[in-house]
Amino acid sequence: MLALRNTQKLSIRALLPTACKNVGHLSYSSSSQSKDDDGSSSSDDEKRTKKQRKPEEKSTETAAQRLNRLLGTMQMQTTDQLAGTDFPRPGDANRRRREAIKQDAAANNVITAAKNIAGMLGTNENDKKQTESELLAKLLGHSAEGGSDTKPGDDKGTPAAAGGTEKELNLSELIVGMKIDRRQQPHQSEPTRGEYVRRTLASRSKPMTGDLTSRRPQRHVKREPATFSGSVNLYGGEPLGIFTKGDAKLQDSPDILSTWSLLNERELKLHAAHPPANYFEQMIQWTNQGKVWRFPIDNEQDMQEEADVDFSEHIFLEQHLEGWCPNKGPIRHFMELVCVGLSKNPYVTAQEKKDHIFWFRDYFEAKKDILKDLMSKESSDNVNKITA
Amino acid sequence: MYLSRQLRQLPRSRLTRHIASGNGTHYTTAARPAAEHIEIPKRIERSPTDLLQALASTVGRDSTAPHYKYHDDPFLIPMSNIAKRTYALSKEAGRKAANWIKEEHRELFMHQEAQPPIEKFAPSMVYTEESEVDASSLQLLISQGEVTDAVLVYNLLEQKGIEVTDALKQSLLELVCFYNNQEPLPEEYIEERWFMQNNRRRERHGKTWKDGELAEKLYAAIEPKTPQSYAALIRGMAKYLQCERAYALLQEANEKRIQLDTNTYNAIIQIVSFIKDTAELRWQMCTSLLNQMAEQQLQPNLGTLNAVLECISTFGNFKLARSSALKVLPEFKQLGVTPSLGSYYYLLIIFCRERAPVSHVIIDILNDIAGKEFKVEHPKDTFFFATAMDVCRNHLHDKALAKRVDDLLHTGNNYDLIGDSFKEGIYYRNYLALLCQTESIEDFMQFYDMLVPNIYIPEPGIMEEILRAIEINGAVEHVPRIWSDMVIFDHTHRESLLLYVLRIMVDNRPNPELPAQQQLPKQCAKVAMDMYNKIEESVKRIKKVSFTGQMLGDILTLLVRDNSSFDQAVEVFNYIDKQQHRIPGTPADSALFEYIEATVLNKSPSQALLALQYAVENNMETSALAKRIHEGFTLSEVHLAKLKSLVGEGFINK
Repeated sequence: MLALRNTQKLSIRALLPTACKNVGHLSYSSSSQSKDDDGSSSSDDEKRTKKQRKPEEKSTETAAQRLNRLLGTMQMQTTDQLAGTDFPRPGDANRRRREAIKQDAAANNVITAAKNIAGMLGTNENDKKQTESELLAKLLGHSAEGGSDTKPGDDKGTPAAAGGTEKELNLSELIVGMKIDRRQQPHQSEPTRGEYVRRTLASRSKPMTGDLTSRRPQRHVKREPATFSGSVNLYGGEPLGIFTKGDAKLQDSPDILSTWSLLNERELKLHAAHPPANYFEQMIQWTNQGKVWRFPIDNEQDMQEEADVDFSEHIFLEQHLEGWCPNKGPIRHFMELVCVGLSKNPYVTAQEKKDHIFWFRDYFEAKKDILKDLMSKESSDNVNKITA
Repeated sequence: MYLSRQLRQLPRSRLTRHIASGNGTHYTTAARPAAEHIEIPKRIERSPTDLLQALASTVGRDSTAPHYKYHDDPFLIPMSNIAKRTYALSKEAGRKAANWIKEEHRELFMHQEAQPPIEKFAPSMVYTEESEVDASSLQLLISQGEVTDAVLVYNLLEQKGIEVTDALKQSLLELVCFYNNQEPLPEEYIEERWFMQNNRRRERHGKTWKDGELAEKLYAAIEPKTPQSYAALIRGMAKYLQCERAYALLQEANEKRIQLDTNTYNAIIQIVSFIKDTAELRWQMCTSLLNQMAEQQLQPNLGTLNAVLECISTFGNFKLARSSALKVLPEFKQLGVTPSLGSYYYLLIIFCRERAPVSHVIIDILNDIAGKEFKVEHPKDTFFFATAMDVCRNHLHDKALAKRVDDLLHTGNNYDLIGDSFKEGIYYRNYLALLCQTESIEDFMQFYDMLVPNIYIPEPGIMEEILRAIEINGAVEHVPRIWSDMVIFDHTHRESLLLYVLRIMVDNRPNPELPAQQQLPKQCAKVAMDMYNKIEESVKRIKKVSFTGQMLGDILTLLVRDNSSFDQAVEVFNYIDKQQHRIPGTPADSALFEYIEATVLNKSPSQALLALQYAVENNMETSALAKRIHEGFTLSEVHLAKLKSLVGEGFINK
């Protein structure tokens, strides 16, 4: 069906030049008609309209190309749509308005001619209408071109320049045409998709080896690649059967290399890393790099050795004086001051504080004799003073 | 009496009622908690970044604002691809310089500002030949992934004859194998990584494994050989493509009946394509490796799936590749292995090949994964989106599919898997090119406004595609906008683009009746003048663009179409006239004709005659010009004489 329509379209295209010849005089007459209309106005106006028509003719030229392109890009579902029907595009309404004015005189003739040709070509009513509209779409483009070409020779520069750009435009048209061809491939392979589905269904019921043998001879068939297009049933095929054999008992295999897997994880994370996109992400990045405190902010974070030590052990240090320190006197006084000072110091650990106090204990122990001497001396001095 | 009794009773009854009602309410309040048991939820342990991640997820991407990394200085916001790269890398270079100062002048940074202290801000440890080291410092360095320091410390320990345990040696061997004894790029240089990967595409081509170096010495030092030591060396060799030896080592391990693990087999399967040449041999080897795994009862994982698919993707034989991929997938589905984006990437490159029939496998893939969120699980996961968009554009040419891929990209955190700047560029290049070929120009311009310039800046090639779309749609009103973008993106030294812009503007004469196009002649003239100045300036640049006659003619045409810029048109024409020996080619005839039209309108016959003289000197078509001059002006004697001397008297008789 599709192929049939394609050939029909082609035949219409092939017929077009002859059709143009047939309707050629009509288009000429249309252009001369419009020129006469212009001629009635002043010469300056004529120049202006000519100027206006020049880009216009180019725009219709590109419009024709656009039609071709759209014909090519149309999906296969839309092929039943008429190729010549209007596609909304910018500036369309404006162009149509201007065209309508120009065509008033000639359009009827063109339409009847197109109808005749369509009548000759088409077999059923639908086809007739289609070819007719297709022809009309083509002819309207051609009549504009023809009109410009047959303009009097006093401004030969314009058509020449137009021709120059036309060539380049055709080049781009050619590239677009290539795309059309490629995109038509799936269309052509369409009928064979059913075949492919049937085969996959068949292969599913068959055992794996049978499937392999059934596929191997076909590998040399030339038309084979076309059958491999379209939808793919990713998980519906025959499994490989290496691990899924009934008797295979698989055990989980954790990575035996701990350092390797750690590094691998880090590398993977870096693969998905991207520059931070807002301040929060920036903070996340800094947190992960250890440049800021971790949330929730806790002034005891990273406190490893002191984590289990109660605050009381930092503050109530007098307990360490029990047992060696005299209950009163200058040493007691001194040591109490030491305890107060240490209890206020946040920079040393409780153990260090304890050690500090015990250092004094050992010190005083070592100097016991001297101290006793001094004390007795002092007390005797005091006695002397009092007595004196 | 009665009354007094009543009075006495009144408050009592009230009181009792009150008590009763009070009791009632009391009962209800007491009963309710018994019925509705309040369950205090258990505390959820949050990681330090959970809160930040929740906050970050509320901030979407604003396409009208530049990326976060660029907005520090509004004046310097980069607007072209090269500027973006330079800016980001300079910022990071600044960070590097600061880091260098910190390391170089460590004595200045011995103080601790923060309490609790932040280790990162303290100067890092430096290990030299004289350092006092022990096994614990080696342990620390390995866990930090510091390759060179770890190796140095290991050597020191050896010299001092300090015993290193086998476990530590094994860790070091893994570290050295993983990085091939090369210092990796530090983790924190995220921009460098983001932009660097462009040049890393070549990495898979040759062997980079360092034969006979430290890794192999470490391996030799571990006696007796454990499965771990085999695995580490095999994976290292496979990673750095010392394929034959890796495979030989695997065979040796098998002969000695040493049980390896799945990941080691994965590493070997990945390099099958380097060991065997043809597709059949590769597939054979692949299946035999898988069979070995099954014999050893190793559960395959995602890495196995991706390794097998990678091996299949290197098959030249399309049909074999396809059929084997379709056998592997159900197999792993039955094993309960969920494919990652990397697996789908391999599927795409297996099915969608340039010289193979068109495949719509991407539709099935998208049906499978649309709306899902992905996390990075495999290094190739980041290749999926760029490849998928490439398939949408070049293989299927399907706009709807491209939009589905884009939806997937913007699902959850999937954007993290875009990869790097290079892959992001490819992705958007394909997306924009596809849209401009398939969308109507209005819809396309909406996408353009959304993506350009903050998310993506089109390369010159894509700019040409956009211009082509504008030309095909005749949407000349978008040209001034595109031109200003081209100036910002630094595309103005591309001659082909300049010519294209000019051609669109000349070919599509603006229609003053349309309100959208009323300003166009003026804008086009501005663009033309801008272009003229740009080209004149470019003489000083290295990549200079030179005028051609055609180009100047187009500029001239555009200038005369706007009534107010006739003076500039005269200036440009004088330039053409004076430099006519230097400029290759001449303006188009139509350009001269329009110029003469303009001289008529502006009543300057001498300019018109100059143009005619130019036409005559350059052997162009002159009769039409002469006729127009003759008709348009009432010429003075002098001018008439000149006209006659230029073209002869023939024109009057016409």
